[in-house]
Amino acid sequence: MLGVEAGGRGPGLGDNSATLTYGRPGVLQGSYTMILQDENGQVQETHSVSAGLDYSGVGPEHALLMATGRVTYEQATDDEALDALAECCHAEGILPAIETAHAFAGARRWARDNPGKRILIGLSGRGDKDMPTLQKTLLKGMP
Amino acid sequence: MQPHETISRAIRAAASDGRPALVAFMTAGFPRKEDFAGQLAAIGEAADVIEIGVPFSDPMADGMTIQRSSQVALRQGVSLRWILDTLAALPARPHAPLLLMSYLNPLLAYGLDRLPAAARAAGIAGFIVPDLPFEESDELRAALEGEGLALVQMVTPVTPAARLAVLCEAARGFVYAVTMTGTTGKSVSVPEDVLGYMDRVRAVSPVPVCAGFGIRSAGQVRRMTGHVDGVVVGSALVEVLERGDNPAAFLRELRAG
Repeated sequence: MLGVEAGGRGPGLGDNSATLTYGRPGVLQGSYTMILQDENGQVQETHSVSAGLDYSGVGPEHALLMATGRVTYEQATDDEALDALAECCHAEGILPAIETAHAFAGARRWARDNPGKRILIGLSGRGDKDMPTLQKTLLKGMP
Repeated sequence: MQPHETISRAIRAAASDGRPALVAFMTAGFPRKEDFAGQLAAIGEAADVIEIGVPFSDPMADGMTIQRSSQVALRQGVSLRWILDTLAALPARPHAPLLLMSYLNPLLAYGLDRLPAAARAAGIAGFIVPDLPFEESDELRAALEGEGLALVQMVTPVTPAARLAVLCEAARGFVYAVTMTGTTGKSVSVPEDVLGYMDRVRAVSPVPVCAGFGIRSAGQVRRMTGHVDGVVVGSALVEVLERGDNPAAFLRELRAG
């Protein structure tokens, strides 16, 4: 299984929400999981175009799935997620949530290297709630 | 005498005249990092126990005042390591026992294996960890017990009786009886049912009971007399320090009212 986390604007501290890639184990708001934090345990600011991913922690199930090797996690940047969202709209008429669009971006990348294979994507949410964000990003400058 | 016993004894000794003992809270390094040692000495003139707050980025049990003080301290680079190093290097520490209030993550980042010995060497007698539920606390409690350090347990007005008994039994130093369901800082009235709750906690606790959250006035402290062994004064004292006023004078007034 493949998981895709928010690569945001890039690898810098505060530019992404890629907790599993850059975080360390810790406790935030009651969960022992991977946390974006400094060496003193202070939680760091994050960024993602997707509000639902813009968080310094991650569901502890994901931390466990990574630790046990059941899921491999990679990242999609803001731009990659928005591109995948646009492609999904054009090709299927489906508007995924920007959170889910990260999975589409990861799936597209995986498909290139694995032609002919079947992929199942968990479409975890719809994107009508994201229209204000899309107007400021993907649709910027459009009438 | 184990360090955690120094806390219980200081509270009982101060409360022996009938008035609640004063547990005084300060955020380490607020408003100025370089004033930490001086503030500690000034508070130590009037406090029976001093609770030193380790600033944390996400202080979920705290209201506006302590959130603000934590942010200011963090911007100056205050960390658990700095607090322990500074305390360990002090030529003289206050006579009042010292507690550290920290959320769990800074303790984990420091390392639970080396924390108890470093804390004891810095003159710390115990810890308050507001985001650590009792059921998850075995590892930290065992580590602290090894150095004789307290882990204060917190109870609230909605803690069921059976759980109250378990928490009081496990508490070292004192039981922190939170006056309300909410965050620190807002002033609380002290109605009869709160006093009844304090009495219930005290009836089952083998260690002293201190009421905290929203204690700001001598009137509140007077009303608590006979129902608690001590009161914790946090946000109100942090505001005194923020204004640059004399913390000992404020604490004496609080107890004298």
